Amino acid sequence: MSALWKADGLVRTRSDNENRFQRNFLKQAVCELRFPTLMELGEQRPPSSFVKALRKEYPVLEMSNEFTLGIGTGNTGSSHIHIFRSAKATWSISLKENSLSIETTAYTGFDNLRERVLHVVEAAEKIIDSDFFTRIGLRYINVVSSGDEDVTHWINPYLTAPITSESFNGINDFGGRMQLLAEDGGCLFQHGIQLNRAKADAPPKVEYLLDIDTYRTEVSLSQTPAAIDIMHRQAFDLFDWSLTDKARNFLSTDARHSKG
Amino acid sequence: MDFYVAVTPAPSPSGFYASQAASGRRSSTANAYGATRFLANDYPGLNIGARDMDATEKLPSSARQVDATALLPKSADIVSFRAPAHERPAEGKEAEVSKIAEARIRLLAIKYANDSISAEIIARLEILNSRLIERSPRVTVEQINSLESSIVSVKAIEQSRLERAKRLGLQI
Repeated sequence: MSALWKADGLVRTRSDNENRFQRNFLKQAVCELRFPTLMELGEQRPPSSFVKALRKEYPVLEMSNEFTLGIGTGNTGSSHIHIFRSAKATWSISLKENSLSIETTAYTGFDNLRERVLHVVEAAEKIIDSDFFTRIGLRYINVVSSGDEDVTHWINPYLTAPITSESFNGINDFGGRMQLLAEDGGCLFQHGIQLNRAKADAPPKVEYLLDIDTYRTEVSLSQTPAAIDIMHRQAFDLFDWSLTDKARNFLSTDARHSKG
Repeated sequence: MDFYVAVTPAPSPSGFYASQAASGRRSSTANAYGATRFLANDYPGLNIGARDMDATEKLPSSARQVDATALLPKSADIVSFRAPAHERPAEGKEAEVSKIAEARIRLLAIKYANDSISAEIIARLEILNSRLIERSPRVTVEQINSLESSIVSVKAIEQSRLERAKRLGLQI
């Protein structure tokens, strides 16, 4: 894949595992497309052509208000957000006056996400009155859960060095943040220990967060598929770099065969 | 014409996310566009909220639910949404210019009411400015043609004056 944006070169490591993994650690994924503000989209009723294009796959429509509050009396505003949800509520499309996002809590693979994003972009082309997006972002929130094993054994030692070095006691919170930046895009990587307190009667389970947000700015509509592909590739390279072989082996086994 | 942006008084939890994003707490140029935001779902286990306040925007789960089909406009009350320029029926040039100017004023009102302005508003203002200049230029083609013909006329008069002076042996 040849570089189209300067930001494509921000992550230099390349993974050979793109088609290897059978399962994932993904808790949430979102593709957000921002476009020049169109006040009409913040009105009470969403565009009928957009509703018609999406209602088969996303039959539940919610509406919410977004308020902007800021310092000073004049810094307030509000607009509507139209949210289209799939029947099982695992996929959502949000439309507001300056952005469109496709989110899921049930990620099954990039091909499915890509197809849904392009379907929504096709429907949006007719209503956004613009031939470019000001910003396209692709963000994956992964939570690595290693079962009974120490989660640091599943994470690249470069990330967990302060913990594994045993130089410190009583670490109460641990995390890191790296912002990669180019003229036409960037990548924000946030990671850290996360305590899962799902079971009230058990001690919290230690998990590891890998939050990767990659984006490109000023992307024409025709370049959108290429931008999504290249951002996914970048996010995956960074994700794979963050793991050890133990985690990779876990991801490579089929979830159906690993139980019991 | 309504110069003011409508503000709904009832507060909503989503506003707090928006307010933090709008406050521009991180000053780096890297954040001019902010982070990719979730609008519809929330990942409840995320414990990096404080570090990531610009990144994720959530909506209240109690948002009113309605069937999508019910929100489709009825034939009697269809409000035509803004179609692309080439699909729009031909309408008076003045009406179109007025529509563009109105949209521009709404955005300018937001711009001047806020300390910070998003890249999306700037982009739309640029689009509207160029459309306005194209459809209602400050100097029209007719005015330019008129000025050019005046110049031609002045030159012709000057030429004939020179020829007359030469013919009559007059000093200029």
